[in-house]
Amino acid sequence: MTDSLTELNRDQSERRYRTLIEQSSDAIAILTVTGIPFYVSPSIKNVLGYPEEELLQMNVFDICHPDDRDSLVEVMTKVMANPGMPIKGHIGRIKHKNGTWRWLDAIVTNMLHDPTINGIVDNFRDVTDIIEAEKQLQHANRLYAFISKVNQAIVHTNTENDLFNQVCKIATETGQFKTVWIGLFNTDYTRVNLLAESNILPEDIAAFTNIPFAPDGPHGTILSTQAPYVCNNIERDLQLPDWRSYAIKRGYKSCMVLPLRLFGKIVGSFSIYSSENDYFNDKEVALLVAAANDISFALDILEKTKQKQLADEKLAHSERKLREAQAIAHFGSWEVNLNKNTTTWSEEALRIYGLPENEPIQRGDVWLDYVHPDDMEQVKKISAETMENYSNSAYFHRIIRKDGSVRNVYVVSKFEFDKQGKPKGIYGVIHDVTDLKLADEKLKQSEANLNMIMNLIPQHIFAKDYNGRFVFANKSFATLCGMEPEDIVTRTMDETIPDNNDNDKYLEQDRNIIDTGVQHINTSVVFNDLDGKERIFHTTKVPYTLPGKNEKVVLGIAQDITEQRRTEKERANILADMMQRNKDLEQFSYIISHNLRSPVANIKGLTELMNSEGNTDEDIATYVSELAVTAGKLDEVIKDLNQILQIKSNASEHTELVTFEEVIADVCLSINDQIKNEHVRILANFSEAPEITCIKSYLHSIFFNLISNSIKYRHPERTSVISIESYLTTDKLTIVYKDNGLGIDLNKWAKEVFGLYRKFHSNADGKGIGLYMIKTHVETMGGKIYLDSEVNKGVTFTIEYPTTL
Amino acid sequence: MEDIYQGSFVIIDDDPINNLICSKFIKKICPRSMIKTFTLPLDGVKFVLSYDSVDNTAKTILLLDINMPATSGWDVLDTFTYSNDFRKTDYAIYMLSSSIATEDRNRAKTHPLVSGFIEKPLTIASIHKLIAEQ
Repeated sequence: MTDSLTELNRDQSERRYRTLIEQSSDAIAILTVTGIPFYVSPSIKNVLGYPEEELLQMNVFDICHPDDRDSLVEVMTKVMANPGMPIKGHIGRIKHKNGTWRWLDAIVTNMLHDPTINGIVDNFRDVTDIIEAEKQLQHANRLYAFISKVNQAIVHTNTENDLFNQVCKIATETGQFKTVWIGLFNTDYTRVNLLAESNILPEDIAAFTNIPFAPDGPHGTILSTQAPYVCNNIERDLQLPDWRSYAIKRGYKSCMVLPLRLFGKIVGSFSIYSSENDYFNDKEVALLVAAANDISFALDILEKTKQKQLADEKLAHSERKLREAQAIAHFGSWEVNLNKNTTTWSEEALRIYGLPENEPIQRGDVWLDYVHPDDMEQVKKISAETMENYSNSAYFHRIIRKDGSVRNVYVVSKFEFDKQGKPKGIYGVIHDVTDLKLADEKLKQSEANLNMIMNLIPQHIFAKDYNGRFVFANKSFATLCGMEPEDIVTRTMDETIPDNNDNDKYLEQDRNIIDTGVQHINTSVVFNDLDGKERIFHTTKVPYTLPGKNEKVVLGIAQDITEQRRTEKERANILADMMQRNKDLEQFSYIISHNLRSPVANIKGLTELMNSEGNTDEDIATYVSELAVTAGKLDEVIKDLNQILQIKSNASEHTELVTFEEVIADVCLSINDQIKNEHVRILANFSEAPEITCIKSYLHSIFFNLISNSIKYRHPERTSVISIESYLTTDKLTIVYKDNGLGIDLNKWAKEVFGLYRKFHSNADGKGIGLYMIKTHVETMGGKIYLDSEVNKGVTFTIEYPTTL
Repeated sequence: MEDIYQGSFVIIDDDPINNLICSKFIKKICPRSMIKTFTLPLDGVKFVLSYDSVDNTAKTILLLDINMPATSGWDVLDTFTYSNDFRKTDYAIYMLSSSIATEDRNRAKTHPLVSGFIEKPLTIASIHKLIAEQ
């Protein structure tokens, strides 16, 4: 019984053991040196799913995870080297019958030396669950560390770029992601541009720079769904073939792209690549979303800081500008607080009053201390009025600074009321207008000076617009038109000088000046003044732009040159007259010397002949008689000379009023025989100008010579007719004397017709002195004589006497 | 007395006394020479232009006054210049004048037809000089 009981006990115990072993998650395998099991415990089926007999056909190396093979070889080597010693701690993956990998923790003992076993005992158990749990814990820790560091970075960085760079670095170092990068969308969300990265190969950077993206790709998806994008198996799921092949090449198996927001709006992306499939599980995703949100929050803060900084800078800038503007314009501002009775002054306001710039708060009425005594009454009056009515005010007054300098200021003040409508303050500006006032006074003074000069000078100054309307005229010009300067402005030439025929011409000229910008000078503008007197002007006209307007006009200055022209003409006349007289004198002396020399030469010749040998008595007699003739001629010349000189020296002889009638009658009487013999007819008409104030003997001589000549050179084939007329014009008395005689060939003799001893006819007994005498007489009395003649038709003498003489 | 000059003489001057003086002097030196005097210049011109001096071996010496009424000595020269009948090579023309004006002398010097200027009165010496120049 005992035995059977023992047997039973032993059986029971063995069954229990067996059951335990079969059900155990632990298993035992005894391997040969080459790793082939020759015994396996039945529980192995629980662990690896293979039945015992199937397993006995396998080599342990065949079902070992390829990644763990090396460590398995290492352990086996160690086991072989240490017989009998159990080697612990080998954890590796073995393929389960169902195809999954199971983590096994093994204790391996070399029992080859024990003949009962003669194998390697591998005692192992499934630790897959533990390993997985550990792995997940590790994963979570890594993510928490990542988030913690990201938050530190957010606190410690000041710029987006800095933050992005740090986040990328943290993501690969602490987050242990394979590669990450941060991109920014362009404004129309068609492209994304790399801003920061970690672990992108340098040669790949360009592929991330400003790249377009597909609407159904990761970036398109985050924009359309406004949510993160996850792809846990790139090779299988990514729809973008180019990116898929790139990801495979670089070992990226799964990826996640998170939106980055600024004030709620997506502005960028945070892309994370992992080298494992199914990396982004729920927990991972949740934490990464939290991290992305933190980054977005940081972006908001950074942006707000930046905007505040900009606003601060702007404010500081505009305040500085205001200070500068006040200083430049000498424009100060102030504010009175009526409750506290203080005034706050701007820097420039303090400067204007000569107060220290660093004391902006002043007593409310301190400004009254500086008001110029002469202006005090007025200022106080205005001040009182405004305080009474709460009215705004604007007024000039003077202030005296502490250093005694006087400034002119312009003050504008306004009341400020509280909600109840009670005045709580006065504010305003103060403008130092001293320099402006000085400049203004100077300008006014110089304008006044200019005006005075303009109106004093005799030159006529005017300005006309394109339509010929006067825009300016000085006093002198206005007087010329019989107007005042202000009357002329806006009138046209026609409305000012209606009688001027050249108005149209000048308008055209003016327009040309304005159009071309080239000045014009009229050297002689003829114009009848108010008295109807002809006046001549020299005008200079230049293009001119009216100050303050953009209008182009013509500015002209006209100088009255009537008198100048008259004297010039007079001078020219005098000069010509003198030249003529000089020429006459030369001619006179030439002729005299010639005509004196001729007889002298004859005397010399005759006396030499008489002195020579071989003269007959007859010869001598001839010489003597010729000598006598010659002496007579000489005497005649000297007499002529005397007569001529007599006329010239008697220029101031007594003048009297004589009638032409009586003079002509006298002359005719003295040559009555000739007139009668030659049947000369004299037709005289002095009805228009019957008399003349002159030297009577001269006038007698003139007509005597004229009539004698007419008879002497009468035409042989017709009756000699002489006509004499006199008439008056405005400034001269004219005598016209005509005959119908032989005439003188003026083509030949015009220059010397009045010359002394000039004879133009060889067939008569003239001496060649008559015309010379006529001219001398006429000119001695201040007149002029002209000759017109045609051969065989007659002569016309015109004698003119200025009536003013 | 031997003839020292074979040529003829023509004198044109409105002053008859001068013509008398000239012909008397010339006769004293060249008693056989033909001497023609004219007080009217146009008569003188007419003679010169029609006178055939082919027989003469020497040039005809023409003494021409400058100052004459109606037709001056210069006018006479102009007539010769423009006349086809004037045989230039047959004449030696001398301006004879009482003028002392340099203007006349200069004009005489430069005139292509004029051989010289003689100041009045003509003298024995000036006739000798004239003849020597031929």
